[in-house]
Amino acid sequence: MRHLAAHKNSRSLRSLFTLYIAAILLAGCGGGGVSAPQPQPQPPTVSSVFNSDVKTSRFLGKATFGATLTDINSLTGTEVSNWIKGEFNKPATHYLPVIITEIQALADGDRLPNRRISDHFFDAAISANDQLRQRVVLALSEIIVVSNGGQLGNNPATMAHYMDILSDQAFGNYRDLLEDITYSPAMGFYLTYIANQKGDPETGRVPDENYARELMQLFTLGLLELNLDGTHKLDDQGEPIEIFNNSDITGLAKVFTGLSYENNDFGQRGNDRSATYRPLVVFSAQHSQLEKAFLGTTIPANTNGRRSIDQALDAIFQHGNMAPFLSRQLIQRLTASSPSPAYVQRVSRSFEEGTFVLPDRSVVGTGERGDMQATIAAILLDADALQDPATAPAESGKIREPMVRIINWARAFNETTPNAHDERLLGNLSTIGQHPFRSPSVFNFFRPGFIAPGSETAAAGLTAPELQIMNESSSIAYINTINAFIYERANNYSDDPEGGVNPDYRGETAIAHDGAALINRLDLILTGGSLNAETRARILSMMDQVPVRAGTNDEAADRLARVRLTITMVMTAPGYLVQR
Amino acid sequence: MSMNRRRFLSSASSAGAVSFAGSAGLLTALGNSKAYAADMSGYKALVCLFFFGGQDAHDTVLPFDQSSYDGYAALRSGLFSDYAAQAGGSSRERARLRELAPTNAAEFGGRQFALPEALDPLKALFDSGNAAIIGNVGPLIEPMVRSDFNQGIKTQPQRLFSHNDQQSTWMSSSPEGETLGWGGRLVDNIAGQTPIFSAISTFGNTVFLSGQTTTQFALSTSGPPEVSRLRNNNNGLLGPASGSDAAAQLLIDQYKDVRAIRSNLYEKDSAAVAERAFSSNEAYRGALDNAVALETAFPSSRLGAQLGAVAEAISIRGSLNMSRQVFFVGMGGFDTHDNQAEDLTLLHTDYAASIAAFYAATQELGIENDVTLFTGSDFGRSLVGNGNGTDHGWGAHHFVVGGAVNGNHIYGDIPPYATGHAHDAGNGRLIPNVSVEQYAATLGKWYGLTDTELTSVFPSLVNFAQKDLGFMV
Repeated sequence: MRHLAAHKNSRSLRSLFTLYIAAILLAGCGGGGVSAPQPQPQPPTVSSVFNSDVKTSRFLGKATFGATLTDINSLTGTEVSNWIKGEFNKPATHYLPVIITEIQALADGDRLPNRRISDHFFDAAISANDQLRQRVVLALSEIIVVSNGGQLGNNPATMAHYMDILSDQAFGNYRDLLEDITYSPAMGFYLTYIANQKGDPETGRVPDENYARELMQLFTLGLLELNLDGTHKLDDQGEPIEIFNNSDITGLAKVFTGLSYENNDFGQRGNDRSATYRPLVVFSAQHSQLEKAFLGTTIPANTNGRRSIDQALDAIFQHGNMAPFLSRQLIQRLTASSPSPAYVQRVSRSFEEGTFVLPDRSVVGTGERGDMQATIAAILLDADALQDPATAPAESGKIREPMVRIINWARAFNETTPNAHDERLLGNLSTIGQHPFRSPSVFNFFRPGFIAPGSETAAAGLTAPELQIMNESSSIAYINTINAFIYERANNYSDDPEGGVNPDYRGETAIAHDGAALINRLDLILTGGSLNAETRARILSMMDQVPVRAGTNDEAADRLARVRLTITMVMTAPGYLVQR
Repeated sequence: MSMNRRRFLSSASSAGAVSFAGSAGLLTALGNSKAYAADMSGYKALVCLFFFGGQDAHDTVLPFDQSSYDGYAALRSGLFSDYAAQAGGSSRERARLRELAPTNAAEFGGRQFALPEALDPLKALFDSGNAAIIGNVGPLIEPMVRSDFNQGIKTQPQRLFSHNDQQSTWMSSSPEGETLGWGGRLVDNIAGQTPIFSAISTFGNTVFLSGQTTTQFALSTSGPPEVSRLRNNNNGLLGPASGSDAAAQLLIDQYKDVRAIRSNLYEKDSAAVAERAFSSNEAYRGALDNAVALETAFPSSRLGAQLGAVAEAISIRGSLNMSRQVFFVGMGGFDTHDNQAEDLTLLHTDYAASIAAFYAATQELGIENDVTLFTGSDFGRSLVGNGNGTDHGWGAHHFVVGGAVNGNHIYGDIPPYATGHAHDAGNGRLIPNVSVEQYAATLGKWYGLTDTELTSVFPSLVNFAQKDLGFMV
């Protein structure tokens, strides 16, 4: 009998429940008439995910911010179930403590630059231990969007508090995440409900509707009724069905009234700045005492704020759209731009049931609806996500986000002590179409439903979110930006040669005289074996243009030139741009 | 967004676009081989300036006659306090509003209107007859009034009050997911010009500019970018091979993914973007070589830079061999649920100055009669506020600017600044008096399309009696 890996969770009841489920499964599925959530269809058998270096690289390309040769070598031949459980158990990177420290170190009157938020994110993404968790943090930040591109740029601690919520709940539960977000000053500020007052019949004033709408439309349910597989339900005329109208919004808006910073005065930040980076509280005098009706639910009159918010989030969370709406988008952020309905349905089930059976038959997840570990495992270990590119359908894959490609590069070339703050370019990547945590609006950099006009993916009826930010301007900007890093021309602020984000090309320059070996190494690390014959042939032809003048003073420069050219030709190749 | 394959267009274009239009109207496909029969002589340009977030029309075109003004001030007491608290006092004091004197003032029966002082440069264009106001325009399938809306007895546009869906509906007559926009459709099949620069955006990818044969060109405000340091002696990308033409060609070929045979659709699309990036930017750069710098100064804001880039693009229309162009320019920040007094004032100041500069540039080029700029936005906003902001509305008042505009006139209608009237959808959200399609078709007719072609591009136009609102000469 396999020893069940301990599932660390602060709620002991959940742990007991997990052991209960595991015991049933180990005892023989379905025997004895015991009622238990059904286990998922079995994913690939033990050890196949890491059974070759290219497969390991491809998986790490999805589950981390980029494969490294070290990881490829150490993980190939091992069991992915252990890896993913290990990731779930790694402590979370937190952003608030370091931001607070930096704020406290400021001279009087100085401000922490807006970019510090993304600087720390880049550093974590490049080198932090909790890779999968931070990958999920980025994914969540593109669904439950808060942006510091506007006035929140002046409140880095508020923003960091929001990032820590995502980090802590990335492997927690989505219901808890929704609650923490609702009480966060960051979301309260961004969607304008801090100091949102109940209605006033005398003046006609009504509560601000912003959060009520975007909470439902963008963070939980969407507008149209969904099947569990993410497809639209249709009415008798074959039309999609809207699940809420403006009256639901005005009803729900009453729930989010009375929230403000925790101090004595409603609507004031007060003297204690820490109120801007700890949960909001409800001021009962400003909370609506009316009946609050929405989505077929009615919260009775005179229900207090905390209870109203709790009931409202429960009602939304229990809706049939919750699982497919979130699951499809998380899949899009991680493994597939246009997942098959069957894939979405499998992940939705894991979300709803709260557990997932790993290849080694151990179970992750607490069994509660909304369990993030179960959902993430279901996404990464689904058969659709693990298809061999050589035989996978032409509709599979996902374009790597432009800002993530830079992080891929830093990891691929062993930057283990990054200092993003020292890189001028990392202060504003908007020319490439996006910058971490700086979405232009609550609608993220691109829409999950984006269909690229005139494209091959559009002709096949596929969604392609990343194509929404790829155009004649941003694609050239990407080439120039990635080249600035590849060729180590990106300006630093300090004189420290080790400052910033720098590559270590020694592993590559050592074999640069052997063009084929160099290509193979970079293909393995960067694409997991997806470079096509044409690209390989072109790189080899380029090698002929840059011979290595062995034994001369030029040898080192020749080797380095070959390495850089190969990297730029790989990292702009569609075989790299598209993660398979 | 699910893939509902049953909604393929009956005569599918080469893009095979899947429309989710439903009752909002399918954009009927014109055959690819049929050029417009319309009059496409000379040069004409349309510039769409889109206010993302939903501009509050009530706080842009304000009531001026005493009775309406007093009622408005009472309904918006929270907002008026915020204005009063601003440095320099309240710009919404009646004495500080700029009264409009449109040629059709008498039609409003004693009601008068004004613009806030931040819009002075735009008001100057209105007063001189080169700008018009289109009152209460928004998505409509058929005419509607309050009782229709409340009883649900007419066909109403889908997904009202939702930002992304209403942006899409303004641009394409359908909610989010549509892949053809009317701006792109207007320049489809223009005889004799290469389509490549007929639709230009300075604000990213937009469905507005997507046509059946038209694909937009994304124009960077800092000029068409090219690969840096390609051949910079040993300091460049090619290193020791900088002198080699063959090496340079290999690198560019790789960036363009030339000759690659691919099956994965995402790879194909990625390659297509890259290829276009090189060929289009190079062609544009070539045309810019002959450009004469404009003397007109533009504001240094992002909007000013966009309109400056559009003016520059128009100045090289000859080199680009263009007779019809559509431009898309954008501005964010209009979703003023909060802080409206401060935010909207800044936005007004920016766009009024930028539009005025743009008009001046067209005069400098001698083509002010051939270029028309028009504004649009997701929606207007509620009249009854939430304290210091407003919530999502529907119909809104917009501006059309250009030498060919019958200016100093208010088209459409401006409903009372109150609740309970015939065009109140609740809380002062306006049910539009004129539809976006009527607005757009008026522009399309000026552009040269025939009535038949306009009906094809604007499927709900048949439901409205007035297909030409009359604001273009």
